[in-house]
Amino acid sequence: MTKTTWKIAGWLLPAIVLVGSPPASAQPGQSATQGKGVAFSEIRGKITITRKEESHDMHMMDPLLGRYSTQGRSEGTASASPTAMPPPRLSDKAVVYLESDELNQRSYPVPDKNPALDQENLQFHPQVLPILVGTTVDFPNRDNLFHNVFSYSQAKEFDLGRYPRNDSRSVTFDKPGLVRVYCDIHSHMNATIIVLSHPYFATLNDDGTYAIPRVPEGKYRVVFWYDRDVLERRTVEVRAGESTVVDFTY
Amino acid sequence: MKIAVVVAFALWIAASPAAAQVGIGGQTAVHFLKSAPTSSPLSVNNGRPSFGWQLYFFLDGRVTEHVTAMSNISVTDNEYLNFDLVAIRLTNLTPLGLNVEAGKVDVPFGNLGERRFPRRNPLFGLPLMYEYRTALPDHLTTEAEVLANQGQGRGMRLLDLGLYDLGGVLFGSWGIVDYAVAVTNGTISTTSYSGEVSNSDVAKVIRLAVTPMTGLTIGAAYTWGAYLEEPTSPPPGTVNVNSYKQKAVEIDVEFSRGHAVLYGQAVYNIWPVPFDTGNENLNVLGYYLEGKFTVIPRLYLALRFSGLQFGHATLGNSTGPWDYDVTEWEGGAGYFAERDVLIKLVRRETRIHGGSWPKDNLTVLQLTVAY
Repeated sequence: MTKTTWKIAGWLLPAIVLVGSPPASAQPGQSATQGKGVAFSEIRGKITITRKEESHDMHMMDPLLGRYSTQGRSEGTASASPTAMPPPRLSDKAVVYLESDELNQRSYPVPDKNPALDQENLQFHPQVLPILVGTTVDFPNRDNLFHNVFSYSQAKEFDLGRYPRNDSRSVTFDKPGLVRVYCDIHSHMNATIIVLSHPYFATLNDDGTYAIPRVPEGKYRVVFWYDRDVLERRTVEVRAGESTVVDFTY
Repeated sequence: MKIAVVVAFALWIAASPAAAQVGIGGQTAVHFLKSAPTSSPLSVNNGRPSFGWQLYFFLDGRVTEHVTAMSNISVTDNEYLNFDLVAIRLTNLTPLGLNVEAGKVDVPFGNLGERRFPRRNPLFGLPLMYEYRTALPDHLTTEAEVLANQGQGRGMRLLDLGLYDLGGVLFGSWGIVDYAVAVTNGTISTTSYSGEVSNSDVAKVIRLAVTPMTGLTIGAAYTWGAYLEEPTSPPPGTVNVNSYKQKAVEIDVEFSRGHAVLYGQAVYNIWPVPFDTGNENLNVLGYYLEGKFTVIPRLYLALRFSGLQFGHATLGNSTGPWDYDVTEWEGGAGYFAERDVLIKLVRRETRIHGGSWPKDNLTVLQLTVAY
C-alpha cells in the first residue's frame, strides 16, 4: 500500500465509522450534529399512558400459582404469591424504535456489554427488550427459586433449563424478529425481545421520555411498542440540525 | 344443577366490579388410546381404539389481599362435572402469619401438585398408588370378598385420585421448612366428594417439607383416620368402625436442575380390617419414581416406574400377599407445538403379579391445551 492510499484510507475510515456508528455512542446533548457529509439528528419524545390497565390484574393472577402450596415449596407451587409482585414500571414495558429498509441494510457493531433480562419477583425485567441482531442477552435469576426461561419463537428457540439464584445463562440472537420469552414454571411470566437489524431504538426513562440519538437524515417510521404489541407507527422526516419530537399517548 | 352453578359463577365474575382480581384458567386434553384387549380393569373399552377427553377449569377470586376463593372444576369423557376443589384461603391473617384453607381442599399428602393436570403431567396417567384399585373395599367385608376382589379393580385406591377432600388446612413456613396440618372428612383412600360422611371420625394429616437448596424439596407426611363406612347390615353398633383407623406415612422428593426434573414418593399404609373371623392388618407399600428430561427446546422424554407391594395376611386358609403386587412402567415423549400446546405419545406397561391378566398395556396420543 502506497502512502497516498494510506492517506485516503485515513480519511475514509473515520467517515465509514461515523456513518455506521451506533447511536449509543452519541453523548446526550448532541441532539443535532453534522459531520463528514452525513447529517445526524435526534428523535426524542415522551410516552404518556392515560389508560387504566384493565387487563393487568387479570394477567397477574395465575390460578395455578400457589394453589398447591400446602404441599411444600416445590418449584411450581413455591411460596411465591402473585400478591407480592410489584406492578411493572412504564420503562419496563415500553420502547420506541425506528423502521427503515435503509437502516436495515447497514452493519453495526454489537454492544460490548450484554443487556440483561432479569428474573426477579416472579417477573421479567424489563418486559420488553430491544436489541441489535447479534447481541448476546444475559438471563440472570434474582429469585430464590428456580425459573426455566424458554422461547419457541421463530427468530430464536431456546430452553435455558433451571438454575439457581444469582446464576445466569446467555443467548445470542442472530436473527431479527420477535422473540417471546416465558418461564416454564411460572406461566404468567413473559417478556418480548425485539431483535432489530439496526441500533436505532430507545428505552424509556422513568418519566416516560426517550431519545434516539444520531439518527441519519431521512424518512423513518417511529414505532411505539407497549407491553406485547406495537401500539402506533408514525412517519417522520429527520432533518439535520433539528430535533424531531414524537410524543405518544396511549 | 352443577352447570347452572358454573354459569351463575361465570356471570358473577363478568358482572361484579367487586371481584377485584379474578383468575381464570383451564386445560383441555383430547386423546386417542388403545389398551390391551383383555377384561382387566385397566383395559379401556376392551382394547378397542378410542378417543377421549378431559376438561379442567380454574376459577379464583381474590377478595382482599388476604382472602382468596379458589375452585377447580373438571369434566371427563364420562361427562360428569366435578367440583374438585372449592376452598377459601385466608393468608397472613394473624401476627403469626398463619394461613388457613377450608372447604374442599387439596389434602397435603405427597407432592403431586400440578402434575395431576395434563399440561404438567409429563405422561398420561398418574402413578399406580393414585389410580389402582386394591382388593379391599371401604365397607365391612369378608376374607372371601377380598380374595375374590384380587386384581379386579373393585376396592379402594391407596391415594384417592386427586386427593381432594372436605376439611381444613393450616399451613405456612418457617425458613426452609413448610408445614401443613389438615383435618378432613374422609381418609386419603376414601375422600368424600359429596360431603356425606360415612363414619363419625375425621382424618388427620400432618406434613413437613424441607427445601435445603433451590431445586430440592423433601417432604414427609403422616395421616390417620377411620376409613370404613358405618354398616347398614349388620346393624350399626356391631362393629365400631370408628376405631379402625387407616394409618399411612409417606416420604416424597422433588429434585430439579438444568433440564432434568425428578419426582419420587413412597407410601406405607395399614388398613386394620374387622373380618368376621377376627381382625387383620392389611398393609401395602406404594412407590414411584418419575423423571423428565428436556432434550431440545420443545421436546422432552419422561419415564415413570411405579408399584404396589402388598403385605402378607392370612385370608381363608392361606397366608400370603392379600392382593396381587403390581408394577408399571410408563414412558413417553412430549412435544410443545406452541407454548401451551403439548402433544404426548405415551406407552404404559403394567404387570399384575398374579390373577388372570398378568400383562396390560396402553398406548396413547394426547393433545393438551392450557389457557
